[in-house]
Amino acid sequence: MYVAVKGGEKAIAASHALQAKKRRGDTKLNEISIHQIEQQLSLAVDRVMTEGGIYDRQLAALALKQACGDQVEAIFLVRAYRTTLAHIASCEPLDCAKMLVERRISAIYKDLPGGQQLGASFDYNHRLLDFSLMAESEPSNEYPIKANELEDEQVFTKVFSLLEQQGLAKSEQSREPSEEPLTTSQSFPYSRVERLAQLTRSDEGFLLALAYSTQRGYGRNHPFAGEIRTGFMELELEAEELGFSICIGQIQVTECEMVNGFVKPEQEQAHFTRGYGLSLGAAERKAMAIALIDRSLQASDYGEAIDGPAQDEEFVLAHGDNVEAAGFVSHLKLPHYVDFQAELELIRKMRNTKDTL
Amino acid sequence: MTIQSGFSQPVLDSQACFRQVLAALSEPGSVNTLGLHIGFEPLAASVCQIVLSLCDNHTQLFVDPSSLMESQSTLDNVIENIKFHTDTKISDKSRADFVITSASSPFVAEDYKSGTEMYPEDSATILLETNSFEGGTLLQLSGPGIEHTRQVRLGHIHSSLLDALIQPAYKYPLGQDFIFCCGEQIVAISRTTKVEISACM
Amino acid sequence: MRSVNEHINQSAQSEQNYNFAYLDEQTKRMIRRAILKGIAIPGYQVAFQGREMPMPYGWGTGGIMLSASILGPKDCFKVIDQGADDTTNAVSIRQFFEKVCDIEVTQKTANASVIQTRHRIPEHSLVEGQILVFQVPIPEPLRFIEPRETRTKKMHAYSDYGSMQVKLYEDIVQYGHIATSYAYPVIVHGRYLMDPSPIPKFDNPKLHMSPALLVFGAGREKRIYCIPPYTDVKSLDFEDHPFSIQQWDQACAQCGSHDSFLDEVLIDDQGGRMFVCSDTDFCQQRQGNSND
Repeated sequence: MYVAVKGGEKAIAASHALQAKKRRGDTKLNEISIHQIEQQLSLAVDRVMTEGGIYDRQLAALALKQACGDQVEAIFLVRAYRTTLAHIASCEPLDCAKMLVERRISAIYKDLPGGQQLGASFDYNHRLLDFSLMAESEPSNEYPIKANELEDEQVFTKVFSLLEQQGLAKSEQSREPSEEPLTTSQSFPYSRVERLAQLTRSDEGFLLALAYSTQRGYGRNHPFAGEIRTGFMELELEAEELGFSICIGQIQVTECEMVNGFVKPEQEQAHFTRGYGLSLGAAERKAMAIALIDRSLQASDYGEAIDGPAQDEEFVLAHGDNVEAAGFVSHLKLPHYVDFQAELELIRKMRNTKDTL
Repeated sequence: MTIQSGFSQPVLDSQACFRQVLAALSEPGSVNTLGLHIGFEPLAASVCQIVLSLCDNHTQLFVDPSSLMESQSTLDNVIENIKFHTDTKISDKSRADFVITSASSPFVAEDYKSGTEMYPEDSATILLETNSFEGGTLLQLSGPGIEHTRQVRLGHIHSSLLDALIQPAYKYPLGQDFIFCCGEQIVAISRTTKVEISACM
Repeated sequence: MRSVNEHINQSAQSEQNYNFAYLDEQTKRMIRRAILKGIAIPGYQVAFQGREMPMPYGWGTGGIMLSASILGPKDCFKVIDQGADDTTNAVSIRQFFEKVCDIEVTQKTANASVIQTRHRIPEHSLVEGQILVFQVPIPEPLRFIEPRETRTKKMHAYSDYGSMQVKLYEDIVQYGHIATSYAYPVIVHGRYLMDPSPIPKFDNPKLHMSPALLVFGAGREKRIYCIPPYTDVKSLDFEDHPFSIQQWDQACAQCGSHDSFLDEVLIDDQGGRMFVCSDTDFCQQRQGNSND
């Protein structure tokens, strides 16, 4: 017939078949397994879990496989799955002081109780392509580190609690445990808790750029990396019938606390301010970006001028979600010919009117 | 204390009830029927079905003890059943999203949430048990959902409630929405509905 | 080599059992409560907790969430995009609901109890009891005048709509016409300024005193609003520039209609054009063809 965009059913089916073929690639090569993705692309999995909003490594790995490695698409898949899950209960707030730490660094003290634990990191790695990885090796037990060289995970005092002891930073009381389940808010201004939850789901690239902009003067907030830690936390659920909490599992999280420029409120001594970020898995860049933006979004609390995009709550929170952003940008691919026709009619009417002038 | 069964098909029955409530509120004054559950005695079947289909752990419910229940144990039994099936929170009047009360009791609009200029939706939906849609003052309704006018009787309702319908305590968009319930039947009056005593009897 | 729906079908049969209409019951209840508030406060945008759907935001998720919360097994469902039942996204949404609701679908406006639409209102008059679900990209009519939600929220609270009148008036000064041809703002029940979604203003008169219930869903922006049946809906205008709708000199090349919204179709690369009805069902009915 006359319109290419019509007659959709067959076209859609064929398009999906093509995509499935593309995803599989050359069938002479082994198909990549979910376990391989989970184990060997673990940071990709961490990002998909963090922004997808479900802690499930296998699901995230499946999403990455299905999305041909497109992270934003994989995040979307996980979110769409999450929609179908009922909210059954809320766990007790995490206390990251109880974290079994794998990695913990602080940039503000040379040494501190427990010491600096570098853990696994790309830091200090010379970014030279390792051509030896091009050769596929058989599974073996030979790792650069022997099991007995790995330190047991342990609990460390939080750097901020050391600052709080000296009154150099204010302790932050989490709000009273609310009866309301934490959901993403729909109205500005967000509470800080809602804001942090929204930032954790927000696009890492978007947050990274905004965090960077604060370092270049668009809302400067003088950050120091007070502490960055990655490790395992137990999730506890208070069972109403039992009257006490039970551990329902363990998750890996990364927490970043920034020490930011000090303030001197009236009636109070000068103290540092702080920014906080939490991500699932070992998404460290994300946690740092969140912490920087968390602080920049506190500008109004400290009477600071709001002149950088990263300080503008509505701007940051309304545009950070990559599922929303990718969807709305991509919707321009949908037919808009009715609206375009309306515009054509209008522009022709205007041109005709001009001719007669 | 007895826990009675809820909807026999919770997903489909909730949907069907919602559509009846939707029709009722879309066309104020129209009589709609909720016939999928017998209700938790002594509450009307329609009241229970509205609660079962719309309330959950994100909503707060106030059940007016003075006007509805014969005894404390009856009240407890009803509330336990509602909580068991919906996990809804029982609250005081001033915070309730849904209110169950009797149309023949004195009504004080100020007792319940009526929204704010910024959030007019933060208001109570009031479920009123009444005795009939055939008896009582003949009322004439107009406004959204009604092409011209619609006539309705709401049974024996307290004069303070009738006054509140005719002269709402709050200026639109603030206000409360009413669902009158008699057995399996419901009639809704929205905050946009203009209520007058009908001239022709 | 499977289509999306085959995937859904397969996963529904295996370990993933999606609920009727995909959404979990808690989400449906939340949306249903928001719809009821929307009906009680016509034209007011009720915030709700939007959910990710298995299609992207911007592709009709708001409408899909509403339909998923409204539809039941007794419904007959129609989906149109640009007025057409056979555009790709309409096909995709219709197939989704066929799969997750096992519901009867139709292309005939008159047979449908619920119609989900993007950018059009059917030409065929709707009747009492029908529900028209609109997909909405930007629910805030003031958004392009004032980007901040915190401010537009206040403007609605205080009926502070002067800036919209000023914008339309500036159009007249600059272009000689109100330069809004779709998503043309309306006042609902004399109170709330409302964006009717990007329907051409040709469709605006159908909003006024519609016998059908009109519900609008913006998934990404997480807003629901409604126009109950028989509600006063007025398109903004000025005494000396009254509201008017699009008109064509041509008739539909297929059914000869003079009073429907026409799509312009390019038929060669020499500027040749023809005009056909955007509402495919309407056009087919007029040609005496049956769709179902």
